[in-house]
Amino acid sequence: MTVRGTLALLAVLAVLGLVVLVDRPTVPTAVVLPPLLEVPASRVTRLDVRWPDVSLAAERHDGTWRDATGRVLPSDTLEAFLGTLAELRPLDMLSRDDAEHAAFGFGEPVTSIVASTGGTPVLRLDVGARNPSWTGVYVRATDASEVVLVGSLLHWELEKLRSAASR
Amino acid sequence: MIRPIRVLPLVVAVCVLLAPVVWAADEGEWILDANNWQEGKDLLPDPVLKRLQNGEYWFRVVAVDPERYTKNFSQKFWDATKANAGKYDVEPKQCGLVDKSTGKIPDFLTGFPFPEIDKADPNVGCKIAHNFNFANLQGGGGGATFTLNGVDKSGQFRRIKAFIHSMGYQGRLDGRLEDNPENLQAQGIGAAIEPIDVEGVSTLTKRYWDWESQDALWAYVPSTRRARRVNAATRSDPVGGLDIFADDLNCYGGKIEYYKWKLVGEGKVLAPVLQPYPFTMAPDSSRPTRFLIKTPYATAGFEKPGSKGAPWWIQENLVFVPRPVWIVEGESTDPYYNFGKVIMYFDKDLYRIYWKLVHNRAGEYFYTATCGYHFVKNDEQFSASFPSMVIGVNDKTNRAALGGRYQTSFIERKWDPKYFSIRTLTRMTD
Repeated sequence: MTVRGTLALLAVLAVLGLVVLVDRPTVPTAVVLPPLLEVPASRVTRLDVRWPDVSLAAERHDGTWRDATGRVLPSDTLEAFLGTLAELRPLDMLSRDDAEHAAFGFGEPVTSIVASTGGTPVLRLDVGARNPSWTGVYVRATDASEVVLVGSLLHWELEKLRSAASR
Repeated sequence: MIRPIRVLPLVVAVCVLLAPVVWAADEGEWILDANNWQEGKDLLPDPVLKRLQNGEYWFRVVAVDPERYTKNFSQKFWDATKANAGKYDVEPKQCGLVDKSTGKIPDFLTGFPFPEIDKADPNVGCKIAHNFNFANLQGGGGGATFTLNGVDKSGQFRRIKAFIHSMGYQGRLDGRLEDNPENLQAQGIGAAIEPIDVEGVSTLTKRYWDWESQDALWAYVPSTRRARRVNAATRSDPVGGLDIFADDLNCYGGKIEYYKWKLVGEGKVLAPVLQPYPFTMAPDSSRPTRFLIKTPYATAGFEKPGSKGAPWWIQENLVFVPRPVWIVEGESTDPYYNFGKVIMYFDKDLYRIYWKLVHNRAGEYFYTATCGYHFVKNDEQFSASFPSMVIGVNDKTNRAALGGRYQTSFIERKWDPKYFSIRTLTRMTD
């Protein structure tokens, strides 16, 4: 092979190397969405939950949760609920179209959650229906347009909280 | 005077209106199905109720005398339980059992360690779990050959035949075994027999009688001819690619100390049992320490053409007994364990777990295990509780797996401990 031929092959090799470098497929990075409650659960000092038929207004003072009448509430139930909000992350983004929200259970009275710290709301959430397989539950930030799916552990914890509120 | 012939239709109408349930032919039995699903509202976990409402599940409900039901365990068990009152507590770190008199783990005990359950006790969930464990251990050991059936909406898609043999050191009604050099609570061997591609795949488990040690598990794969140590968290992996898990045995198969337990409620559920009262055991003519129990086959929908409900739902030889339960949450402390929060329904008297709802680590509910039992008792000196079957249903994939449903099982009252060894695993396919 001539020197010219070798140089031509080297040039082709260099071009191919460049193409490989430039056209390197990007490795998809998993997008980790933030949890529903973005502040530590221990910082929440007030929790308001309104079900269609029952409501709960709870405040924490010196580690004890009390309702509006001063009744002591089961702290472990409230802590578990807030802990769940701080752990659950959206599993799926579903709809930005307000017209579709009724299909996710937002067309009827919903359960609403407001968590506050130092008088400032840090979470405002509406809870819609469970998905068809009941593995998850639809939620949306109050007055927001996006419906997301989160694990149905939220439904379980809400039921426990509702039971505590009704006692 | 009112003529009887005119009153009769009125009486019938009143009876129909007042009857809360559809009564079957047998007295004390009734059928719960889609027609009267509301009657199951407070008796079944939500995902199960949904399938009842859809007509996929139905239940033959049998009312039992609560006092008689507790007698499924022998008097010897209840006497031991009574004698345990006030003797035991749990340590704060892992909720391990403590003998109050020594501050250490008890040398040996049988019966429930906690005869009285105080709902206000911060460790109550863990104490319920310890009671559950000692109900399992009372028989001392035994085994069965059983099938695992993967079932979807179109029928069975995979079948595995396997066996489990187990030996207990703690909780035995037959008393303490002095020869326990490994300080074990229990040990067991499980192996697949069919089909050919999994034949000889086997595991050996040793559970130590201490608070800290996680279970030691070895898995043997014939093609590599090697037994390798595996993490105990693999009990939360699907068995043979089916929708069933090793931790479904008795609805919880792990070590009590490796879950965090929390009592969250109480209620009443329908408890699946082959029959409400005990089966008897008969001596095995070939071994004086072995006793055989014959149980009826629980036929599933896919095995019975024209049956009612989901293909995996049991059609025959399973009844449901209304039972008071503790509702307890459990969560593994092992970061490699696949399950997140697990909700379990424990019998308040016999501490059997009848239902378990499983969430994954992302908080999605995905799986329900229905855990059926049968009880064995010949006299008041000995009794045993057997896990008859598990109906594992993955609600995310709408598939199920059935485990158990064996017709013969045995109680072995004097195992050779050497049998539970890696040598047994490696020689099984020779």
